[in-house]
Amino acid sequence: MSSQATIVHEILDRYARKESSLIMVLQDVQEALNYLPEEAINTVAAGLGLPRSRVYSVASFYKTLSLVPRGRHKVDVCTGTACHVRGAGRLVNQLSEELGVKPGGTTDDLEFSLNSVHCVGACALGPVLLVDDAVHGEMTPRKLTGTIEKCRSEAPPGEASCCGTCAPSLAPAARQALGPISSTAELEELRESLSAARGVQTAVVSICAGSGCRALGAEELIAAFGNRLEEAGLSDAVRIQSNGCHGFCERGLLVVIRPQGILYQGVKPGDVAEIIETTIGKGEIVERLVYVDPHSGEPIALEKDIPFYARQERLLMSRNAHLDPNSIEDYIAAGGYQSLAKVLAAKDPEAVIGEIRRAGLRGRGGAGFHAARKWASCRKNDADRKYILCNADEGDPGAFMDCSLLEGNPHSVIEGMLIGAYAITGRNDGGRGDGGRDDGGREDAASVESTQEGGFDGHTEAEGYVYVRHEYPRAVANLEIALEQARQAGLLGENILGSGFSYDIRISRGGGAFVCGESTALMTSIEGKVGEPRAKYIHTAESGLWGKPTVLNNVETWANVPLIIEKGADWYNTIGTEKSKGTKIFSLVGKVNNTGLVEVPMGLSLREIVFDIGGGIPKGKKFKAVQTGGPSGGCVPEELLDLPVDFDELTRAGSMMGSGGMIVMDEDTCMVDVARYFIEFLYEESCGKCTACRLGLLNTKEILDRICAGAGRADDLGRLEQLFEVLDDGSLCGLGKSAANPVRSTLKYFRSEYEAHIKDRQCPAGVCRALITYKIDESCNGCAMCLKACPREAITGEKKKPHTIDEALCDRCGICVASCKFDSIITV
Amino acid sequence: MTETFTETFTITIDGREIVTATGTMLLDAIRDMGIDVPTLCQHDALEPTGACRLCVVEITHADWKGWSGLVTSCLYPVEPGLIVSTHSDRVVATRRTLLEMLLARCPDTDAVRRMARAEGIEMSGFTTIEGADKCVMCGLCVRVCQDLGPAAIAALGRGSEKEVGPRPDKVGEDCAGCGACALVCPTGEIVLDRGRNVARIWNREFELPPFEVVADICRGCGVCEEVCPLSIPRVKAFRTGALVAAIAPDVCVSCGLCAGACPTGAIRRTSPETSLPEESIEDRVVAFACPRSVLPGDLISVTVPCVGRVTTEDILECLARGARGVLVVGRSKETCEFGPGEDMAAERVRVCEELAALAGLGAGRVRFVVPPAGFDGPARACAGVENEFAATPLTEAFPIADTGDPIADIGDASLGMDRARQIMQWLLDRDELAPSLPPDLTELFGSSAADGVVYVGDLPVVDRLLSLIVTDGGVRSLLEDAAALLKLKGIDARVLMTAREVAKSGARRVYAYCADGCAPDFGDTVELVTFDSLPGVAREAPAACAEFRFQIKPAERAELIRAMEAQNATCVCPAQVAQLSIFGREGAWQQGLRPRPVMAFQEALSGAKNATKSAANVEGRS
Repeated sequence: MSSQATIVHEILDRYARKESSLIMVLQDVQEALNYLPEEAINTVAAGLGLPRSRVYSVASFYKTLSLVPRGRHKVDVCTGTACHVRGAGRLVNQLSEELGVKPGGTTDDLEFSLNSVHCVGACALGPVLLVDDAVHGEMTPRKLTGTIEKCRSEAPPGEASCCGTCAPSLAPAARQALGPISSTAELEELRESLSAARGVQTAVVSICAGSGCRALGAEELIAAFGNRLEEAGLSDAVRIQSNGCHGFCERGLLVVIRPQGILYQGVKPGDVAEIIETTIGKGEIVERLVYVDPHSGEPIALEKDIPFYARQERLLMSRNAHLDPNSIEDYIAAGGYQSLAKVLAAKDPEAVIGEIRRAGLRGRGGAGFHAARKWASCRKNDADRKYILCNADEGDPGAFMDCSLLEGNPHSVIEGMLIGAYAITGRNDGGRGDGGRDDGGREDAASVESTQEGGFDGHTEAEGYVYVRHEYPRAVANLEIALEQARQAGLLGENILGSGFSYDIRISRGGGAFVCGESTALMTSIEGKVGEPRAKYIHTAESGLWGKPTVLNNVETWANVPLIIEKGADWYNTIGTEKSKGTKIFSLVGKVNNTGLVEVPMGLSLREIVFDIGGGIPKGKKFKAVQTGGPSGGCVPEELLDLPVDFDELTRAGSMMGSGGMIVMDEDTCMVDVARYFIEFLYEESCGKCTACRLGLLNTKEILDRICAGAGRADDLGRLEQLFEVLDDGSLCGLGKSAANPVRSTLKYFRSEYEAHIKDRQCPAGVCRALITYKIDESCNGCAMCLKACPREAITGEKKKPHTIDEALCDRCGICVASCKFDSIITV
Repeated sequence: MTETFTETFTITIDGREIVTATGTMLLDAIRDMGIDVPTLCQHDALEPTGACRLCVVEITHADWKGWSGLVTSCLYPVEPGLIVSTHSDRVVATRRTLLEMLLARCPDTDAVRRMARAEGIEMSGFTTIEGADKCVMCGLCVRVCQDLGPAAIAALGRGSEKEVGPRPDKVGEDCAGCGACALVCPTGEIVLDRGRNVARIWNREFELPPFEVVADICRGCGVCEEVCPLSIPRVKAFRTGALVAAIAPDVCVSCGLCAGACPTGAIRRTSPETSLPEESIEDRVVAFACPRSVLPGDLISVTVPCVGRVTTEDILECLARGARGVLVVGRSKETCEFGPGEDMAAERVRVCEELAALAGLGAGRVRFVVPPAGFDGPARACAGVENEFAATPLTEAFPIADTGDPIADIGDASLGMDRARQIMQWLLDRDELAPSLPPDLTELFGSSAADGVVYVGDLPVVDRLLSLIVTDGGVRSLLEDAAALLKLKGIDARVLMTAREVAKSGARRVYAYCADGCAPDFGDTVELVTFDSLPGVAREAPAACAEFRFQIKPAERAELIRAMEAQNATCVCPAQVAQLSIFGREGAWQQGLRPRPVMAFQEALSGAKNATKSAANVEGRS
């Protein structure tokens, strides 16, 4: 057997050669072999008992898989919406020039593979470049060249780790496992003892290690605190807690010192000694690291007083900042799994659904479907097996809430799913025990009996999957750890907390296909197939994954469940609007001062979110629109800024809640370009199964490309409206049905911009390359930065004298604009 | 959960009410009313997927508070009270835009142009792709190959870049060359390119060695002409009076249906055929399948060009060689050029299955399987079948081990006869197989009637076999007709089928057709009179018995009997017929020992009618 075949066989064994593992097997094979060679494909096909054509089909469908050799270094430009509005397009242009390949290509010397990726969750740092998975933020043309050159001379990250962010150190090896907890009482005892142990410690240094802060070096900072505290002999008294995302990404690295709740921003390893000495030692504040309110100029030391946090209602996000995602003890000490225990003890699954119904919990994934309705409908369907799924395929460019929740607090998602599974499949004994299975003496007999029956005897087995993007390695790793911890603690698997209820959760890793966020496509993807949706005339609650009744909710929805059970529907009802209850997490990105994750009660106005929490638009620019709902949503203009944000209001305004992306746009954003951007995204992500979406997006994109290129035609807007209809009415799934939203909403609110492009051949925002010219004004001091940066050599001029741009040579890539430190290059 | 009962109810389509039932898809209900809704991705043999979107219709309901919406009718299950509009403004607008986009994408595709024209679209307002191929991405080719074939092609890539193929370089390494993809393709983009004895598709070449007729054996019966899907074989008359079929080698597509149907075994493939392995197949399961089916390795699988190629003799040979069971695996006659071949195979399996059951091998030892959808459908259908087959070793069922392989012995016609008799005798000796004698039979054949018993042979198996092969009634009714005939001659004849029946009947004298084929030794108590010793019966003309290998309509049979009467040709020897049917490939016909069936039949007919009318009719058949 060739060494390649040996590797492939090892990988196949890792997944027990299950057909459904195809996508994950291919991901692992690619990681081991750099790409998917023909021989490996044949081995995989034979090993899983699949036709080769299906393996090719899957390998060519999922964007993260490659059938051709990839470069030694992986260069990815984030083209998420936040990075797009901050000029990611220019990065792509420059990289294409410098490397001589288009996105998706590999240099001839097999050194670099250039790709554009949609959102890596570091929106605050945009535009972002990833080299071998290491995040490089706030890219400028010069920094870009430097980064690439540095990389050329370096070896790619070692073979031991699959990627830079997913180092082997993520493995839970060092952590001691909790023994099985066999009853509710034991769980309570454990919680008390864990809280007591934590009470002894005098201080907690809470460090954000979310995707944004990690890119800024959170890991080094954690190590620095560890070393310093040890040197100071404070290791036992002070606890360092590595958290998931705190939310205030704009100001990373974030460190919170508790119990005081002092927030330090922009912390560097060099600041550690001072923080320990001043704050932990003396209880004083390090003034220079404290947040300063940009409006009043006042320093604000306490996290809770900072306007960004003060206006939020951080039911879920605040937990992120109080626990280490890799510590089940932290979660239990904070009251975790109590809701599950409560539900299991009550033995009334239908009451759980009732509680969720009364709470009015609506799906956070997009359409806002009532969770309880889904659950109840699944519960009433008879089947020997039901599936409970969690959608963590957060594909919206510019959204990273689910990533942060799953990374930062995986146990809350697990607990939510467990409660859901019990509500959907648990036996309803009207409060009397679980069919005698909890009666110790009879337990064996009962289980033997059910084994003998071997099939459907009215008892339904539940099984769960979390479908998570492969592009979120940290979320995958943290979830894996959490699942293993929960399993060992007797909170997952057989006979949970001694209740007789059994349920297990597996991870299914997606491969970079936005359409897999659609429920039916997600299910086919879990089955190991090409993620094509199907019509939902028969609901998934009736026939979903593998044809069994299935409930799918997204990460945020599941994370809300334990909270509702813990505090009750009545409490939950006090938050939000009449028809939209609770909070919603948004990733507030784009042209906004305080980029980050914000969690607000439903019904807060867009103005409050953008201006009060988000701190308004940078550089005093004028607000133009806010885009919500990702590619399926729309742009909301200034006149609707006072719109209360809930499911129904946003839909009425022609946008949607979506999963919670909120991209702020200023006067420099071209709305036609934004529409084109989303259509291009959807065009690339359309699975291509149905004519309406495949050709509808192709033609919409063509028309928008034409308009942006200054070749718009008089009837183009009419044509677009014709295409909206076919997309809405003719598409098979939600991707196509909502694909018209970004164009329709911009056309509705910013029609004049379209008309300017078509009739006057002008781009009022100065974005569309074909419709602008760059000029250098008299403020130019002749630093020659632009001259060096220009790939077309279109800029000339003597040193220390204003330069000029030759319009004939200039292809308006905009690299010079980004390179100029004095804003001397203007768009005409 | 699927509905376990069917409920009928009314829905309204375009203002007309129609009664329909749960489980019906809306498109079917619409088409049942004769309303034309265009589709590109729909095929009756395949599950609907809703890819082309052309079948959208607008639905609403009295209870829906005025809400209406577009749904894909091919996927939408009907529900009571549905109000459907197939040509509302909204539907027409969507359908027109879809067709306009398809027309721009595939300007040279006839199917699209035709559909667009029906909606009044001659030109697309969208940018036409120059030099475009004809593919509309309906996905039929992929679905037929994945669900009902070897899964050699799939959709590659995504979005508008999506294309169909086996793999990026388009070489169909798993392609079976069945051409189902080309057959279902609505646009003609996929073509099974047939050259001389070769077919090309997906950058592969498939050799098609033609079948040929061995002139010495062929009797010119014309069955090959009838079964060939392309009508390639032609029976030609030679000056000598012989009729012999010929197959034009250039155009033969090598499906083998003619060879499967040929009663004389005169047709064979010019290059070696895949056939049963030389080594022992004892206690194994043999599966015959066409290349569209991928079979599990634990079976002995024999790939034939089409299952219509498999003959009754092939199957029986497997059983005779001790196979535990035989599967003939069909696939999808709706998506196959050689679709009728599957029906032919199914019929042959039915014959053999009954035979095997009668031979004491237990029911279901021979099976025709139509696998479920999916590349692994055939494997799933065959899984576990070995254990299902009764465990009786066949050597016990057929006590022939001591004389060697009966098939091998058949070269000698007389030995074959012995073998047949031997097998039948053994069958009779097994009590459970002997039909129980009606209690009143003794009475019926009491002393007075004893004189008039016609004994037709110890042949329950043969009778059964022939009742399957010869349409409508079989040999027994034939013999009963013959008995009636004898009655006319003044002989009080009854038909008994077994020696045991004869013994219990107490008959003293038994008339049998011939001592050669039918009658065992009854001992001294019974006087045996064979027909050939009867006055006016020509021993030399035992011909007609064999002719019933072919389909004879009841009216024709009556005609024949009259003809036989007229000619004094009365011998209808079931043993011979049976033997030839079972082991006939190398049997007497081929040795030229028997007259050509059709000719004899024809002669008989013409003799009876004394007119050219019916003769011409029969000639037409040859």
